[in-house]
Amino acid sequence: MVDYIQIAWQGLVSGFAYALIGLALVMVYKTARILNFAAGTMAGISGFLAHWWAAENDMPFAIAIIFAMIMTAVGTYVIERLTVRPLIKLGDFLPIVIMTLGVEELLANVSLLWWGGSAQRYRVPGDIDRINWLIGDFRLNAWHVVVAGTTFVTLSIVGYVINQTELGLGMKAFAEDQDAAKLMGVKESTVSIWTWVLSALVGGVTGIVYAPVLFLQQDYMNIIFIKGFVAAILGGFLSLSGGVAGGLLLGELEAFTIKWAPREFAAALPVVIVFIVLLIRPHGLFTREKGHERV
Amino acid sequence: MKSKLWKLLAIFAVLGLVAVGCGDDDDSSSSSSEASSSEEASSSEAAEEECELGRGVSDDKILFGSSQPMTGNLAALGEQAVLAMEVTKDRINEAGGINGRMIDFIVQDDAYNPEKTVANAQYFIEQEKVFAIWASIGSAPLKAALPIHNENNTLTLFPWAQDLSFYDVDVNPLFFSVNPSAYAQTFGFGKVLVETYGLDGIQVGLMTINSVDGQQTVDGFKDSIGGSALVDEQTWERDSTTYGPQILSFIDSGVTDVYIGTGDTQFAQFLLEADQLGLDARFWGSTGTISANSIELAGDLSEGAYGVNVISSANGDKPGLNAYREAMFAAGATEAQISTASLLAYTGGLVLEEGLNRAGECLNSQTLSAAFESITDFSTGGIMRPLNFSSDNHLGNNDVIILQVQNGVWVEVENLG
Repeated sequence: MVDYIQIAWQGLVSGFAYALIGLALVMVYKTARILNFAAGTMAGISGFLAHWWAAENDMPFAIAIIFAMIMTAVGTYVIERLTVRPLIKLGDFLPIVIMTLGVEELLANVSLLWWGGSAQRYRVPGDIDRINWLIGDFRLNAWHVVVAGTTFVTLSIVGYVINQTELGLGMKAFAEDQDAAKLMGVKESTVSIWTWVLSALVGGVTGIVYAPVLFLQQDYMNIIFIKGFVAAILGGFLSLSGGVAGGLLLGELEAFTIKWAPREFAAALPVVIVFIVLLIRPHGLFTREKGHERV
Repeated sequence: MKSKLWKLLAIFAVLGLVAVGCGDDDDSSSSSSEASSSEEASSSEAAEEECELGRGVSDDKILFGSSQPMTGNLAALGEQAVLAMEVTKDRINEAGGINGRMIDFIVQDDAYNPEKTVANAQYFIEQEKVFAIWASIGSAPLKAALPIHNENNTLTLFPWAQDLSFYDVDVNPLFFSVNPSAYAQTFGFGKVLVETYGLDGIQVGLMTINSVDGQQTVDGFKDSIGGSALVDEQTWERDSTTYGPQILSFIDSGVTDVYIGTGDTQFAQFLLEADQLGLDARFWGSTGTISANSIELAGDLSEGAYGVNVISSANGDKPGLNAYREAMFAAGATEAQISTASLLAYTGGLVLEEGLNRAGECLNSQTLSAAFESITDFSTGGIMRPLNFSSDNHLGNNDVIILQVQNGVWVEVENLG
């Protein structure tokens, strides 16, 4: 039994990352119908920035994270204004996707030039990422508890913003019907910019908490991005809660299939399962067919 | 209008015929002196034919191409290899080049993606017209690109790639390496294990990449000790974010020894997760895991871990290793870049230099090939055992050396017991 719990926990630890990135992707897609292919690299740069402030500028750990998040928000604001916004006005979907791919390439190369290609250790206070507890036969890593806590706090904040603030109302309105929202006086550019910033902050938090797990390297968040993308598809790409649930489900699928499936199929099995799910429910597990799921 | 066009075409046709006719007349009325100069010309042409310089070779330059993972989770290895290539280039060029020719190389990123490696091969050969492909990294990428190299009479020199098929001289006559196959490495590893601990004392788990390379790693181990000691086989993918499930499986299987065929970052992550989940075993990393960076990333968790290598420790105290480190640091290398990746590329560079010197002025794929085949008992100053090539053996080195992390550095272990 402990075996199952241990594997399920391992799956959750991966799933939290997929869920957060899935959420960040769905957020932008749902309100602006844009797929942000730079999301993974942007998240990774947040991790590098936090490391850079702390390790190379001797800033306290928490302050370094706050600085990194501020820089992430400002950077995202600039990216949205300079690259995405002018194209949104053209009303064509494809150039924006290409633009996000271009932004991804640019950021990846800047990151490579700035921090190099070698993996670096992201040190956390007291090296708590190296502390393990034994509870009966169940083993728990201290940093994984931080990861879980951060995930719940982040999801709660996002939930609050969406359900309790004017921005959230605007996001919901745009998700339902952009034209109607505009007619009701919801300012598109304001909703767009804050959705991007909120999405980047969720990605940034993910990049930072997973840096001690995956080690900092130029594209360490790209794999998480791909899995987050799969999670978002699994969730239907139009449901925030679906994106989160899709991420957690994918993490569990990976953990259990790797453990028990034959070695030749273990790695491919989660993708095959997602493929079968989408054959049966092309609109995803958590979205109704016409895509009118609530935020 | 139409008739004017026809007239114009007719005039051009007539002028063309006259020109051809005049040419024939000139040839038929050549004098004896002209005949003699024509003979000289043809004998010089014959000489030129005898010494046809290879593509990418000019009077003052030899151009190489190298496909490397400069991005992605193996980017550190690519960076290290390229730095060692720079060191080789500078050493050769600062000494005046080889037969007056400076060497140069172009690097293209493939992110360890075979499709990109194929595109890079085409780019190198068709557009950049390189002489040979040098020090590329990765079995799967190279396996995809090698047929293109072969079809275009292009040498593949000293890659960090280990697929068994590469070493078949009949299939790949222009492939030269100092890096034994993944199969040979686990074959040697199995023998070392049994010699040290005995067959009854070990239960082995193998963690290999889910590819042909990984399967050969498993086969090599099975062939070395009959497979009876192999109790668990696990695979990893390039998009793996955790090795937790594999580690839990190893714990269930009660392994005493785990062989981890990954890069250095993955190895460090594996050690980290093994500690988190309580896997108590001896850890044996493949060649790719052996770097200062794996120790830096894993910290104390790397202490005591073994490395199954084809070369000595990059930090060892031998003339060849000392020269390597001195040159690397002079070129701006960090401690983390003193690694297997850079040492392999550096050692390949030593053999390349020897081969280019032996090939002489008339440099092409065939003359360099013959030059490599003539190298025997070549000393690398202790980096590897003496290297031996021949017409039916293009792999100069077939030895396994065991390293261990002791006090934060990889050191060669002479006696495991």
